[in-house]
Amino acid sequence: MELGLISILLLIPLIAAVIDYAGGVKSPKFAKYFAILTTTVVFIYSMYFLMVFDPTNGGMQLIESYEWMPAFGLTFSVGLDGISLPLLLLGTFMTMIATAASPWMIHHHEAEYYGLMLLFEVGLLGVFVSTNLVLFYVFWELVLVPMFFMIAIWGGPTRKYAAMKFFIFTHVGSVLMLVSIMGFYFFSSPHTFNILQLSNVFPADLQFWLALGIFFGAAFKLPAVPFHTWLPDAHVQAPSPASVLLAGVLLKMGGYAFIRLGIGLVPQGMLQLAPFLAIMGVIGVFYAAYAAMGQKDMKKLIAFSSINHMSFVLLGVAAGTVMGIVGAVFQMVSHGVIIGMLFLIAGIIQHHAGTRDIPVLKGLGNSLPKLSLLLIFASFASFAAPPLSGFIAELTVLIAALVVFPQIWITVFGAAVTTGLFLWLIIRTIYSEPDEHTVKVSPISKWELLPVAILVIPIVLLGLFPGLLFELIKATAGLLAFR
Amino acid sequence: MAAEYLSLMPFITLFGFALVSLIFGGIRKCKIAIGWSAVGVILAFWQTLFGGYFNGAHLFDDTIVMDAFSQFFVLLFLGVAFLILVAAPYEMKARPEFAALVLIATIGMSMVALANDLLVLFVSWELMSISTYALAALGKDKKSTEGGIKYYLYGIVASGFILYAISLLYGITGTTNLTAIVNFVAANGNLALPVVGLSAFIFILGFGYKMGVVPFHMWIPDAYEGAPSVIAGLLAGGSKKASIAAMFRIIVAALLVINFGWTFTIAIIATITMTFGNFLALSEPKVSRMLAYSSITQVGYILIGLAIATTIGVAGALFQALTHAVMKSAAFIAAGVVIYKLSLKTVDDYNGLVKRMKFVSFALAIMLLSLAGVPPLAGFISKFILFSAAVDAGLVWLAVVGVLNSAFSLGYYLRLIKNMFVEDAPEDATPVKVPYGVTISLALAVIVIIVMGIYPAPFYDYIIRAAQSIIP
Repeated sequence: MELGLISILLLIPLIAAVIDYAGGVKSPKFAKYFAILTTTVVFIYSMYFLMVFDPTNGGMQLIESYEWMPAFGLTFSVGLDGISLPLLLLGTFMTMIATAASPWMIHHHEAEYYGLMLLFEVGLLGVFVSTNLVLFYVFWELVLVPMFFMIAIWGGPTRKYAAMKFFIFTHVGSVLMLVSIMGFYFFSSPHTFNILQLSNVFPADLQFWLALGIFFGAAFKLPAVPFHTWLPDAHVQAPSPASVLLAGVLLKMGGYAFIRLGIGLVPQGMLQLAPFLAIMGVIGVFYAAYAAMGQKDMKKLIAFSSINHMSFVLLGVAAGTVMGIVGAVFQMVSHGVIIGMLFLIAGIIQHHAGTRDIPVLKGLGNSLPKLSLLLIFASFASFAAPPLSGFIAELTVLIAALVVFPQIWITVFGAAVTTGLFLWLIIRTIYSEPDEHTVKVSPISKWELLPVAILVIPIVLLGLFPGLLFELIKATAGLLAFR
Repeated sequence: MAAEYLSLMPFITLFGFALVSLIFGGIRKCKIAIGWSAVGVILAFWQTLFGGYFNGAHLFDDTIVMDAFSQFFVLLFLGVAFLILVAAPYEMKARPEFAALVLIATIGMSMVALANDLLVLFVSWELMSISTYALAALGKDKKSTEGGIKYYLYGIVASGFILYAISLLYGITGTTNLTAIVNFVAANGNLALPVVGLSAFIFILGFGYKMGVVPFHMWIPDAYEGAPSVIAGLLAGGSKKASIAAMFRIIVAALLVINFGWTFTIAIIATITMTFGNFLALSEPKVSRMLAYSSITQVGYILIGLAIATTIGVAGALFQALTHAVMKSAAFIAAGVVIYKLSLKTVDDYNGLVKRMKFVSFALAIMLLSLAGVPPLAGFISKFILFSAAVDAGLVWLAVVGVLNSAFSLGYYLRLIKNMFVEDAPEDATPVKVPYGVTISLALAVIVIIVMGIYPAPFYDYIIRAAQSIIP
């Protein structure tokens, strides 16, 4: 059996996970460096897809298919198109960054940690390349187990509660999506789980019910308000590299499911759900922005801001136009990088100040000048200051959504609240005078800042040259758009 | 006639090994008796799988049928018996009769699956029941005796029900042969409807007792907790599956021809059973009782297959029976060794178990995740097929109930996993030596569960054949 490019991509971290754990039990150093090496190799390897991928062709490319359980329509089928490739690259990139930032934040059970990290990468990348619904679901769920242990073992004080909540909440959403997946199989004729053959083949009322199942799976992951309650706990309690992966890429699986399964397979059902999604999106933008403003814990603030930004993805999906889909994917990529940067900074602050409490973190501008600079940059990126990537993304989504639902102009004010939120964060932590409650911070090594600094590159690059990404997504979005 | 006896070779082998095992037991070589019996099980397994005995023949005046369905269940029972025997020596080293009883119970279970005649079925049923009554009371303490007596009392009531249903069917059809009953019912469907419907209902009650269908589930936690854990594994993995075999054989194969609106009835029973089992398990502090309740939930899933009674539905139920047999026996073996070595019983006692028993914790976690239906483990595939069948049959609500229940069940499985891996162990916790048998048995179960989850195709193809052989 000859393996294709994508199968190899999935196999590298899987095999590495086993080696990493086996070798890491004796030597934590090996676990660390081998994991960083593997994720870097995977990232470079995934960049190679950019060379072989044809952006003018909107369909699935590099398709591979192997038999798995033919009697039941299960195949191991993978492929890439303009929606999945950007998210795949985001996944490999952010996993590399998160792994590279881990040595400073993870100090026990390294072998298990890095093994789980690589296993997580397998599930994550698998979700973005699967073209068989069951395979998609398997990877979708595979992500939960390593993340559960990463939160539960290496997390903060209430990590156990947070990990349980994370697993159970997202699992409940997923199983409802599973019912939809079963529906796809039995209502199609001939029965199939193949995503490529299921596009818009059902009558509208059936599509609505299938879309509803997908909605639950995706809305819990995204998360859309009011299904978000697991997120603040999980993100805050997770160790910072895991927060990076959670917010940076795991949430994107929700947006991806909306586009791949929702818009891709049941567009007419999504059309009926769209107004509802738009309302949830608008509520999410405002609710999360205000909730974030009230947080004292820096990580919690970032977590809520993440819900705020993912609500834009929901708006883009609700619009369902070419621009809406392009905007949604762009927003996912851009937000993945920005939120990763913010969480890493929060993690470094936690590491060097011993706390993330905003009221006792004062005068960081003097004590940690370089980190402060990065924090300012990330904050500006997060509230979508031009010319950074977040600006392009949110602008695209808003314009697309406004064309379809003019009533949502009000969202612009939500974006303004986000601006205030981050400016206030900067003022409180960086441009403030230390007082007697302020904690002391220890100096930061250059190497520790490196993973954070690397994240500046894509944010600026995509802000200045959004066409790079638009070109990738456009052709596929053109095929998918339902409006 | 002699040729017909030879067709039962696997069971003759088992019986022969059981007799010799008794001799070993008699001279107090209990470990040798167990090892010898395990060899017998392997031999019988090999004969069942490759001996060509299961060729669809009807033997002994059509009282026994050697079809793919019976072969599937025989393999299942032998597999469970092997897991149990390999893991048992540490707990059963002073019980000379243990191994022989396990083999005889296995013969009983297998014959239940083979029976094509209600009387043969009943006699085999009693063979299985009586050996397991004795097994359940094998423990040394009062709890075991209590559990055994409870199991016995409930068991004879179940037997009474089954006998009553048989007599009803015999009264109206004049035969105890299932094939003849099928033909009679098909010919006189409307006339026979009330009595046949009643007897089907009583069959469900009788087998439901053994399976622990709510509201007949009360004995299950007591018996499973009181019995030595390996025996609990045998009860959950083996004898429960024998009831399922009998239920499918009688209801699906014979009584399905008349339609008395039971899809909905059984669907409701299934819903109640799985939901109730889940709630009980969720609030249960003791691990072995929690596993017992969770096996009630799993029976609820299997009933979905009975409610739909399509080929794929039956296949899903059989697959679920198979995976559940492996997962639950292994889980009981793991819980048993924890009780035996560390006397830890409650979910909270399991805190930091990974520090003391690394492999046992790992294996138990795999089993629990598989029970909850987390891919890519076997439990996911079997539930997936089962719930898919419900969607296929138009019972989407039942599939939704099923998946939600499996999601909720994650609540208590995950709590145990969290306690084992995340919570801090007590200060004085040191690694504990686990008996080799337990390690081998658990390793086998882990391999089976992972392989069946990642590459289910051959198993599924085989199970579809088994399901087709009983669907009329």
